[in-house]
Amino acid sequence: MISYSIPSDVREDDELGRPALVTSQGGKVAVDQALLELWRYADGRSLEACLAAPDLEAQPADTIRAALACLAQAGLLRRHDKVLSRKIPDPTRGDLVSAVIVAHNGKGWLEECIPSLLAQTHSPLEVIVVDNGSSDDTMQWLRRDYPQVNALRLAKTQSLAAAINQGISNAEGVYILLLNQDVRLEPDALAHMLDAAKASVTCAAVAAKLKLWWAPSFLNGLGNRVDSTSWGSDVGIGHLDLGQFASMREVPSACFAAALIVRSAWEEVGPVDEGFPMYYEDSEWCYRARLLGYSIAAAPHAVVYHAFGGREGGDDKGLTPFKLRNVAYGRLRFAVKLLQPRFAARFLWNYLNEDVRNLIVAVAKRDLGIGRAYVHAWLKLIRDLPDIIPQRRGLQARRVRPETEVYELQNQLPGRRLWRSYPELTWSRVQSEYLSLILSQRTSAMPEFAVSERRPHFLIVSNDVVDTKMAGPGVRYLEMARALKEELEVTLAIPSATSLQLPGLRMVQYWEDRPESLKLLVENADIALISGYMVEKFPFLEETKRRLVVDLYDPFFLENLHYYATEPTDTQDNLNRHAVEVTNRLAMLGDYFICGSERQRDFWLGVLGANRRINPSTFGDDASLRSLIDVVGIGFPKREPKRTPFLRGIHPAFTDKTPIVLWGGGIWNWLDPLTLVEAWPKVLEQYSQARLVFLGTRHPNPSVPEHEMAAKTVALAEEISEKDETVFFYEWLPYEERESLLTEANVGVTLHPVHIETRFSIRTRVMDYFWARLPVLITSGDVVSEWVSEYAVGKVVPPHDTSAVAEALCEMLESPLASSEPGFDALRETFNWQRVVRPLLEYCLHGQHAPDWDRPGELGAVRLEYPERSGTIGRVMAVWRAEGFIHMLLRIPSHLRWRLRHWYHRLRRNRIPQRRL
Amino acid sequence: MRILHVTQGYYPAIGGTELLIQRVSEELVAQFGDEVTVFTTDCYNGEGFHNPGAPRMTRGWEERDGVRIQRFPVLSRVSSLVWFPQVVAYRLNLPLNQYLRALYGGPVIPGLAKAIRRFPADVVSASSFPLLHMFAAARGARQSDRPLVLHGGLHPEDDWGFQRPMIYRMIPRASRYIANTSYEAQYVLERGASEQRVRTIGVGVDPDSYGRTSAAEAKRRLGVDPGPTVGFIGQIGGHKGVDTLLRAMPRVWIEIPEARLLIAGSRTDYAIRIDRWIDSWPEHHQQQTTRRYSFPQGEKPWLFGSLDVFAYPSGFESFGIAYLEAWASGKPVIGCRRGAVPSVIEAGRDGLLIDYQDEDMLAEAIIMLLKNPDWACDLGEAGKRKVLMHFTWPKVASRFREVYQEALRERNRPE
Repeated sequence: MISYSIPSDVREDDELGRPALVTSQGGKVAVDQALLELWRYADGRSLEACLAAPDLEAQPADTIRAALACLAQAGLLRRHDKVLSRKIPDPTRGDLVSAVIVAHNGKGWLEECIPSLLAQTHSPLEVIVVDNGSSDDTMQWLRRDYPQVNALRLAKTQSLAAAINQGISNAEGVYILLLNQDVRLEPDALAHMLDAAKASVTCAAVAAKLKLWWAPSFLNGLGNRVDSTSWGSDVGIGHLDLGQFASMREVPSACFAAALIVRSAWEEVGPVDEGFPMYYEDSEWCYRARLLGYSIAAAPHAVVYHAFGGREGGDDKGLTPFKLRNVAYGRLRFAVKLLQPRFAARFLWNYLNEDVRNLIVAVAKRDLGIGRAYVHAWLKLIRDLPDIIPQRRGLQARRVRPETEVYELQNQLPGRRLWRSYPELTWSRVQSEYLSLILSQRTSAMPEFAVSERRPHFLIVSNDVVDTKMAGPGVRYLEMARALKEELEVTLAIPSATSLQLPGLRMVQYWEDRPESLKLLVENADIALISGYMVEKFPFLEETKRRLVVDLYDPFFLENLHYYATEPTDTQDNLNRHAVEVTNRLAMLGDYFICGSERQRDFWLGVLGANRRINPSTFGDDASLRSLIDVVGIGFPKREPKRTPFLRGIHPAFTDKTPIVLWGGGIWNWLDPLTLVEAWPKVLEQYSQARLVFLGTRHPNPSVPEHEMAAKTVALAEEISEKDETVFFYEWLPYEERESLLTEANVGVTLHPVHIETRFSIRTRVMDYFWARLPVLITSGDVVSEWVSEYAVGKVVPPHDTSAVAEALCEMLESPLASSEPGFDALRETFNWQRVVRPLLEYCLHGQHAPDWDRPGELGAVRLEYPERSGTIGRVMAVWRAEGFIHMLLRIPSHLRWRLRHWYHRLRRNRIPQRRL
Repeated sequence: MRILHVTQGYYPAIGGTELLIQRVSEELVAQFGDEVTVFTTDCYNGEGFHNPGAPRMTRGWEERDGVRIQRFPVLSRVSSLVWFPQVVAYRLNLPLNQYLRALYGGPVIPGLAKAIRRFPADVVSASSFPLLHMFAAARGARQSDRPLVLHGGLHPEDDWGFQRPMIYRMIPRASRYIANTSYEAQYVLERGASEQRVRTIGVGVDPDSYGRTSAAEAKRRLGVDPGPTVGFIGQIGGHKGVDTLLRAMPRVWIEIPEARLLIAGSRTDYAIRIDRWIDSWPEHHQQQTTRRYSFPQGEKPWLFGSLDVFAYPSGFESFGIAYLEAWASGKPVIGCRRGAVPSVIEAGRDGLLIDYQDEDMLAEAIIMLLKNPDWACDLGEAGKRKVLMHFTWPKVASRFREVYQEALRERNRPE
């Protein structure tokens, strides 16, 4: 299991004016609120817990996984799972490599750069530091601490290109490693660059993968590029490195902050153009090499950390006039010197447009330094043209490649991903960019997406509405589906349209009047959960070869005794016979059964026993029979109920202090709401402000007729003159409003007479009371009333006892139970859905058809079967047709052998009795 | 690596294997810099193997996207001579009838084995059965002692084509066998192939070409009326299940009168029967049906994009690349629980499976998908995700290459 924690040195930052996180290296990563929330939530939690985060319910699981993977890869979260250590290759010897570092007042950087260079796995290595007119003691320090380093001092600061050329002229290596002073190399970086250089005979230079020193999971660039608009840029700058660049083989140009040059190509292409004061000299050299037929290789495994923007990065002040002049001039010189007329004209026209626009803006802002920089750049270009044009002529005469070919490479390269100068990681970027990269496996494998095996497809067939308004069965199947969806592919089939949409859960409508619709769903699942009268409505269930789970949570044939109690006896008998018959068919059908409580399980074991499902096969498979029938009762959702005002402060009869007594479900015939209404005047005597709310006078499924008890209850409330005064009835409430009502109520009530149905049923509404931490008033006799007593979360009263109900209600309103009562916590622990569905999950993952299942095997491969024919000739013909003539001939000897054996045994059998005689 | 692909046809020849070998070859060149050569025939399709009058391509060498191709002439007259004998022998299941069937199926290419033997490749890969060039490739590779990789493309439901012991005797002798699906892999394992030598890869698609537009936009562009659309895009043949779809549609129209039907594919003889069938429908149903025969390839993504449900109840598929194309467009698919299809479509996860030639079940599947658009969309998206994860050409090519490398390593390993 994967879990996460926040590294101790990673923290939030609020200095950027937007959410940001500070990396362990001290850099900043701009994030958004959604990702920040997930980052906070993930601390100390497992992947599964993050996927079920209450605020992220609306987000697809894959996006959450991708966001966690990105945060972990970015080093902003620590991922606790199997850690694979990075293997450093063994030291290798090969061609001499000369590392040339141009330094300027860079002792502080070189203190990290040179040790990392000397620790390279490749040898031999010659290190040349060109001190470009530094005013610090770099030279002395080098000579003292690194005598093996060849330190060259330039008395006066020169252009970078000039310093590089001087360094290379002193180098003896077959390869030249050009480095900035502010870089640090991984020990195998040089070895990887050499591998890339040797992979192609046309390779002139190799670009290392530059990563940000201060946010080392983000790219500074893998090579760079020059386009017809804007400044030249690093390839992939700001991208989170998930391994998506690992297959990159060629880039337009190498950044000389860390580039390997092949000596032979250097001699062919020539030195770096010293006409570039700074910037673009590396691009010019590389594009020049490419025009001459060379290529620039990428070394995506050669990791070099570059202090882009300083030690902490984020230098977003923009270009200084000095730098700007050099950059603006650099791109002009690049275009004029290298490009063919058509391309050069397009580039220069675009650059001119940009520069003029920026110049006008700068002048308007009175930033004359910036304005001057643009003017200087163009004037310098004009001044230098006499020098550039001969160079251009010489180069164009040697070129072997057209621009179209050179520029084709950069069409698909990744763009810039920075916010100001900071790398940016946001929810939308994860969703739109990184998720598809991960899913299409263009990145390294992310543990969050590791799937060990195909998950079974579990179809839950609800026999009741699942929508904003739903009764117990609908809630049960919806929550069951929610709890299972992380482990299984779950589809919830519903007999009506629904407006609900839950991420990661497929909901599909089927039609009872078209059984084929459900057949299609069942045949396209591995396991289907069914219940009640479905076996009658959908006869194909008795034929299907899919595994069937039968939900026996609702003992409907007991319920029917009440439901039809007012019908003539013959009708009741018929209905009862029918219900028992359906129950028996269900008992015969299931591969696995689930029920609501241990008490129910005992009852259903009797039913299964009577149907011969408790037999040597099932007993032999599991003597406890838990693999045949187990308890999957009712649970609570993992989240807290939402507290949105529904009655208090909205309905005129309900103030903030009004005591609310809630009948939180339907008014069914087998319940006893009348006792509550009868007791209500006594309650009002003490609590005149109290209000009684009945949630459902009608079933949310319109096809279910109104229960007689509902009408009686309304009539009684009218009779005591409290209807719409202190007693209120709702037909049914949507799921969310019901949730609000639960949080507003002070007491939840359910009363019932003592009879066989209440002994075995579980009232979903009481589970809702538990979930909302609502004290419960309940009649004794059913299993839920035992839980109320056991966990001390309410009062249990005898059936039909008006005084006891009134007294208990008054007591509960007088001294209300605190919602922090430990009983509620214990109930939550016992009845969370994840825990409740565990036996079912176990069955779906590891179960099989019941051991006494004797239906034919799975639909699968089509196999040849020989047609049944009578007589020897017929059988011979069948073998001939099916297997061919040769096989038919080959079968003759074995057939004759079998015949002989058969005769022999028949003779022996005949002889034995003869001897006895 | 120097790779020699031996196959029955190559672009511009059209067909599943042809496309697979073309795209794998091109990817091997582009991704890995391999030298890939293809030995193939000069025929546009299988008809040319036994019909001397069928059109031919130019013979000899050519190069396309870095892949070198040599097209060999086919002696189709020889094959055409054995048509009647093979029919009789097959009907009566006479001894050696498999050889007559193989000879009729062709392609008879004199000198192919010798050319393979002489060609300096590191690995020889041949596709697909039951054609004769597979045996030439095996002979050439054996004689020159080079690893042979077979890509079968078996359709075990096709009795005439694939019930030939000679095929299953040859498979265990190859260094590696590449199956399109787990179903095919299981099939060859049951017939004596070694588990260590059988690999399952599948085919690919270019997902970037598909799913770029909304269904409404695609319909507008194609001039198809708006409304829920069921489509069949593929070879118009009876064995591909287009007849089942035509039988199912009247039932669909009872529930969803506004549904539209799109049938698209290469024009075949069977298309004439389809036309007659549709012409016998009531006028309004005819108007709700769009036929697009022999459409340009560039139109394919738009055709898939215009669908709401892709119904392809084919009974003979070695893989079913059309499902990948529909998934790449984010569309839910319906296939048959027959042959290799159940190992491509994961029932209820990314598509629906029905029984072969069961028009009631097909009608119900179409109705369910059209009436549950969110669910349909979910299935389509799951399919798209599967395509992105497993069935893009670069991934398929790199898996082919891994198999070639395995075969090469095994051959080079000291005894």
